[in-house]
Amino acid sequence: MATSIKELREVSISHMPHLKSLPSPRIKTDDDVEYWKTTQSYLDYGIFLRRLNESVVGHFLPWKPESHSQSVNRLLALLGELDRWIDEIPPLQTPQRFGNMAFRTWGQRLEERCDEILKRLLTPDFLAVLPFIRPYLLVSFGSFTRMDYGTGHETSFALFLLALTLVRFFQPVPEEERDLVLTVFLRYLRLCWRLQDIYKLEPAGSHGVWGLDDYCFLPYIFGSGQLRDQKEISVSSVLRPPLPPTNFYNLAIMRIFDVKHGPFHEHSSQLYSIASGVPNWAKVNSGLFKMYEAEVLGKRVVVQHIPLGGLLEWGPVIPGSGSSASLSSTMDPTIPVATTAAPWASAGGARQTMMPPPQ
Amino acid sequence: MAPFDLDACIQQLLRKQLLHEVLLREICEKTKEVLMRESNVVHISAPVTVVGDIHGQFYDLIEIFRIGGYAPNTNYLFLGDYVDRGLFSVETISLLTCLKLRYPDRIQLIRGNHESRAVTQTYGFYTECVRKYGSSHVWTYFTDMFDFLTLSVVIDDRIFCRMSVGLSPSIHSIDQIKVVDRFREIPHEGPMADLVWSDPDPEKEDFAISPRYGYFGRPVNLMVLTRNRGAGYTFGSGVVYKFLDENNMSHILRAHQLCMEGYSSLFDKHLSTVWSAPNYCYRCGNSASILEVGPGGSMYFNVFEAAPENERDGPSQQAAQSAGGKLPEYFL
Repeated sequence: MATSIKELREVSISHMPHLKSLPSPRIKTDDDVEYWKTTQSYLDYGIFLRRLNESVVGHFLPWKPESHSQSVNRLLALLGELDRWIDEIPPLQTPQRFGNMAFRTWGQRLEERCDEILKRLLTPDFLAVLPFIRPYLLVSFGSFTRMDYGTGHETSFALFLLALTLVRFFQPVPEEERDLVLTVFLRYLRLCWRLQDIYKLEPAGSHGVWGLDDYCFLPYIFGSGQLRDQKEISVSSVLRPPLPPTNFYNLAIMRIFDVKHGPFHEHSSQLYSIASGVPNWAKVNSGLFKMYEAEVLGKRVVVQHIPLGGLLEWGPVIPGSGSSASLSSTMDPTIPVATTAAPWASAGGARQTMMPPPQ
Repeated sequence: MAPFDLDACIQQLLRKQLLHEVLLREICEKTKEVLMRESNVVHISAPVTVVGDIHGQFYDLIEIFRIGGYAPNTNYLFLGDYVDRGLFSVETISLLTCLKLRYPDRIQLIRGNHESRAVTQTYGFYTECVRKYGSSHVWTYFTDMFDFLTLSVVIDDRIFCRMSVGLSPSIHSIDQIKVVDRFREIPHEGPMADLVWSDPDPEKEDFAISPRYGYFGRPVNLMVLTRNRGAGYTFGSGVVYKFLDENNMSHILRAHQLCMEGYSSLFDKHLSTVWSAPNYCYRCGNSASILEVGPGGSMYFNVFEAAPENERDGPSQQAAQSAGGKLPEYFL
């Protein structure tokens, strides 16, 4: 299976000054969503997610690698700092409609200190990428206007990691990718849960009982990826809580048991159907990729807030960076990818196309 | 088709049993004829009980009738967002449609932002119709009927009610609402979208102060109306007072935003939000309310909690497994 994984193209940090635009919301209509699916950034994201998924197959929590890369350590420090801000900005005790207005203060601090914390993360070597990742970090923790959180915000954080990997701040190799999921994404998830709990963030655009989960999607993908190639833990085991916190799927389901009331099959009908009707984890994993692409990435109301352009290009697939932007192949780990490009063509081709004319 | 017994339909739905799709087509057609005659701004008199978002929480709708009284003994004004998210949107909208058809002057239904083809295809109602009826026909009947729902109601010439507060740069007066061509799908932008989407922001108390928070960290400009959610705007007190003054109204009443206590009042109680879906999405732990408007202008928020049926297995389990329990196509 691993042989079919596509390489993630590289965008040299020296090209940052030559990128044409900064990220901004580009998706306004359903046609824009269709166009997005043909763009380079969409292809990159598909490859990236699939690589993350493959990297955690057979690897469980708690995850204790001998060491983290410098980049991972610095991102953990950044997320830790954001977490400490929650202690410094307690929820207001005055009556609130629902979400606590203190979340806006937290958001204001993020906006004010964003450049500062990103400079510390990037060090001078990668400073040039700052304006191209800043918008993704700002959208990663919820809407400060509406005081809600949902899969669009989660996707924004994944795109933040993608952008940092494109410029090779993170290395697209299994060891680092595994650490991005099992350490960094876990840290992010716990921070988001804390923000949701402390500031009472509403589910953003929840599909209710017809969606997978009110707030998140990726933990189910990564969790089913972790469990994909084993047989001891069955798909239906999630119906018998408590569940050991050995994978993201169990973590996400236990979170639901913590916060939801009522019969599980009723408030979480999709998860119930999966648990009772899908024969193995490989089917769960591939189905979730298809569902994520259709229900999250394919919905205008979700993706219209995602900044695009700049490093994550709002433009056609760059020749040589992949066969096409048809994501069912990059998104579905069970379909072997038939790539027509030469093995060296992906990174090199992209670099050539993106090389600015001599100054 | 032979004439149908509307009272029998209502009784069947109160027991949470679905109507046949042929019958629903007929009921929706007849209801359209009733709705078509309504203005974009319907005038009614108190007493009336106002209900906010329901979102397919059928058990909680029944709880509302238990505490507020059954129609036609109690007059009801529903502000919209009947469908999506909950497990029983079909039962909910079927019952409300039958009640509207049976008691057209005692039941008012306003169009919410979820009464739309585009939104229901994303947030559950479409999926639910297909699961429960095996095809999208019923979804088509209902969403075609949604195009005829009125946009706003005025109680006793002084309380202005609609789904969202619906203030927008292009709507300054109630007369302007009256001329909107509403018989269509809710568009992405423009006055009709703003009517069903816009929210107030309590931090925008002063017309002159610009909000500090735009999407993506950009400061938004000093328009007090700010682009909001999927569509619409957020706005502050200045916009509200100006609207009330110019239209000789004393209060704006709307739904559309989750409230921990089931309701909230803003801007010196000139604007109220009523929320009628308790423990929203089974997790929010919020109360819900209905607003009882009395003939003398009294307003009482009757607060209630989730109906006990929400916590039970049993008959609901059967319904859930036949309705929601089918495997999504992605996993086949």
